[in-house]
Amino acid sequence: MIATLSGYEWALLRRDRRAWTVLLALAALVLLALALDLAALAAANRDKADAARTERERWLAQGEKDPHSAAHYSIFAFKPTPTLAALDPGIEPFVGQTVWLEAHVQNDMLYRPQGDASALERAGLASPASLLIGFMPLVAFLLAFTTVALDRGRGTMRLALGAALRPRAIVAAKTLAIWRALLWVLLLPVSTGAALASIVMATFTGDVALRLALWAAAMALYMGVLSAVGVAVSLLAPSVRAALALLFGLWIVLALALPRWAASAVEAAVPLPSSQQVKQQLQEQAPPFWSAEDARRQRAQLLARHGVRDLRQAGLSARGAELDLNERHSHAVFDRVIGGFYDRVLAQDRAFAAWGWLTPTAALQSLSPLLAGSDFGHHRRFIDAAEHYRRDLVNRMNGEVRDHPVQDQGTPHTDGRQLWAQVPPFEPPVPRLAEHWHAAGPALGGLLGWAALAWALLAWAARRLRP
Amino acid sequence: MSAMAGLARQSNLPAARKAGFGQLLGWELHHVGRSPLLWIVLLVLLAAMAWGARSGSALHRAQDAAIERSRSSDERWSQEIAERARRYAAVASERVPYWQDPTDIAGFSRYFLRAHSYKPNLPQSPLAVGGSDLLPTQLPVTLETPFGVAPNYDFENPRALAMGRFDLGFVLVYLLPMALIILLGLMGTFERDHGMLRLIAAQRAGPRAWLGARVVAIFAWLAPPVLIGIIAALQLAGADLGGAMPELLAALAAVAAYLAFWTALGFLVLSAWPRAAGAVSVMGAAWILLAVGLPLLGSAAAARLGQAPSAIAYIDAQRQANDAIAAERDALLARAFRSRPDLAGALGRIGELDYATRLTFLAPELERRLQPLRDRQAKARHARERFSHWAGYAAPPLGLAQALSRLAGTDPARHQHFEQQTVAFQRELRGWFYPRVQRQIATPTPRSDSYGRLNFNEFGAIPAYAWRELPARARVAAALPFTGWLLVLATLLAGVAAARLRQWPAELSA
Repeated sequence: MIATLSGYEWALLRRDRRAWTVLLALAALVLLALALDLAALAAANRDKADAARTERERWLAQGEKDPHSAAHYSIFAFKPTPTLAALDPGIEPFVGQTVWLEAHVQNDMLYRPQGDASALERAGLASPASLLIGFMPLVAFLLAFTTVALDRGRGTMRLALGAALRPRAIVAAKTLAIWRALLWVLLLPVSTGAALASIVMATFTGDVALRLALWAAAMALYMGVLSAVGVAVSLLAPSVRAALALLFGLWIVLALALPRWAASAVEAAVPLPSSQQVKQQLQEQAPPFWSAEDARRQRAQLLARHGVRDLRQAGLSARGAELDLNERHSHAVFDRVIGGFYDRVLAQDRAFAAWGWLTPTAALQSLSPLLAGSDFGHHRRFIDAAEHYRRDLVNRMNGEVRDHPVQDQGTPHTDGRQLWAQVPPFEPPVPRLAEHWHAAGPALGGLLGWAALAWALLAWAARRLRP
Repeated sequence: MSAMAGLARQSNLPAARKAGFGQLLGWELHHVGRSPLLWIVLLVLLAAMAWGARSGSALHRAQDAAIERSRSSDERWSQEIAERARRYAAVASERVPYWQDPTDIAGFSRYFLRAHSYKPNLPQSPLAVGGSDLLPTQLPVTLETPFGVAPNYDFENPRALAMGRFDLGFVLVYLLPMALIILLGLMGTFERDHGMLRLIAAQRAGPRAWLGARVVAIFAWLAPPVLIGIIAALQLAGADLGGAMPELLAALAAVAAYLAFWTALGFLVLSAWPRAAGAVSVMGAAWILLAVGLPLLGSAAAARLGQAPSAIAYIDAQRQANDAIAAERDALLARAFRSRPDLAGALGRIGELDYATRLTFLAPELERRLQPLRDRQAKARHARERFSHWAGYAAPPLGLAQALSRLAGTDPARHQHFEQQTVAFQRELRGWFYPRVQRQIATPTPRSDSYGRLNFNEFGAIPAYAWRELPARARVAAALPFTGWLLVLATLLAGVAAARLRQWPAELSA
């Protein structure tokens, strides 16, 4: 019976030109954003793939030189943007897209797409996910207002309830009709578009399919929550005007104000150290250029370690051994200082996700980029992979210098293509969702909590219904 | 003579006066002021403004503290270097490598020079965070950085950057119109929704005066608390308003004009006599169009302006240029030496030059080769900024966001001013160091038997960075045209609304 009633409500909804126009306008905006994001993403990934190939060729063709100089020459690693970032770019516009993997330093990732954006470009930064998460609540509430509050205002609801055997079925049918409209008009086209784009771009894998399915499921749950809240508020409000004020106010509070407020509250509660503090710590604990006094201490340490009076006696180059010692010392410092800093960023993200109980919008703002592979957890994987590659490369080069001592004013040791080719090309990591799923807990809990609350609210509102 | 007046004369009654706008406004001010909705909205707004200003202020205080720490760190480093230089002046049997020697001018210029440029926040900066969460407030300055400005930035949580900050600018630009939409949408349609419009129409009040008085009363109740709220929120956030009075007054004028624009837009919507649902829907749609739709389309158009080479293309070009310079290194140096009378006789020393000395010739050469690319990037950036500026006139939320960030000193224009000063500082440093480094090629300081090279000890004479602020009047002058434009728009919209309000809704006369 509910299905028949829902079909009837759906037909009524489609006849409401105002509600339908708003729904279609948002759908058009979402698809436009998807098309723009896909075009930008495809172009950027093409450029990055070309640049990565060129970097590899450059590395191989750098000619005969001191291996430590090769470690300084090194390569730029480029981070490919995941295809589903066209649905939700997450942090991508605000993080660097490339990093120079040189000796001595773990460089920052540079060239953020929004780094020198104008105010217009930042204000116009809209993606399918941000439009759905931010403005779909307004559309859901408008549909609920149209199908429930106005019905109540006109008195047609009272007639329907009086004639109904099970009044609650009417409420369920109205909610389902709204949910169905949101799913079919907003979610289905954009999800299908993303899947097709992924197939065309030859990036469609089992992991992408799983991510897309879960993204769509999370969004569908969000739509269900909002449909239920919209209908419940429309039923519980004392009048049509009160319903309107409550729904509009709820949209402003839940979708616009609270998520930003929660983000700034998290920042106040779990502050990040400034970049200046991080760089100062690095400068103090692992300077790229060490002093003559440090060099003397290191040489003494190396001699003691090898039990010789001259490192050449151990078949080692003093310069190479010193470079190697410093490099390995810096790794521990980078792990502690930079790694600790990134851990804190992740802690902030977890704290924000925990605010999902406050508003379903915040829950989905955490969940959506995680599923799309565009959150900081995924970005961190690239940072760590690039750093791991850098350390291997630099250690290999320093090892080559260390193991070839310069004999009595002889020419310094050099290497060529044969050694460079022994360093494998950099392969950006492709993180699987299963590796990041644990981070979804707080946001998913928040969203499910909201689903339970919305269902309870709707059931309560339905029970209070009197013809 | 009207029929009503004629009737009054026949029955010896005084002619009933038509209620004037002033009279109606007085009544509406009294009536609107008693609405709980107004006070709830005002309280929420004021709380949001206080939180927003505090949030922006916290960011800027942290940035200013980082600047101070950086300054102190650079000073400590200078003292440490001077101390090391004194130690290295001692006689020793071995020589310190040049890259570990602060008394070697070339070694110092490449490995010991530690300098930063700074962009301190203005006293009124909590007014709007603008681009200050994205753009760096300090930049390291090295002699070899191409074009002076390193692509460094202060790391902020990128999730928070993507979401946008809950600052005072957000409250004023986005939430304030929402508050107005709710108030106008509900209070401006009360009689219509309750079937009381016919009663009002039967009174001696015209539709224009009656609805106009209602709308003006809502504006009059909202605007002063909002403007006072801005001052209070900034005070609570610890802003030194005494030091920024022109900017503060200009910001208050811009916000008042913005409120007038949205009020006039609401008046226009209400002049069609919609119900509350219709009024709120249409005004909400206008908000979405102006705050989201137009910037989305404008941003897509802006991305295609100027055909700027991408960052990836720039990296590739820089790598290619570096490779080419490395391959031609000695030839380039020889050409430079031949063109300089003081170095022409030192051609034979090119092979002995250390890396730092070579850089004094090769860093400018790299810039020369990358200049066309850099110019295209700068041109495209300028075009995007101009486009954004004019787009603000089409999309008032964007326009107000830009005006507030301009007044707060958190705008891209002030950042570009900072970058220009950074470039100028780097040139000053190069102008100071390069001649000293290059002088050592042809006329080296005689080597003593000290541990250090001792051809440099002018640590205290190295040029220091000094930030030069743009005058307040430049910021105010940049924001005023937009305020004027909002007032023109508000007048036009109110004029159209008034013109449409000659009659009560048609169905009342049915």
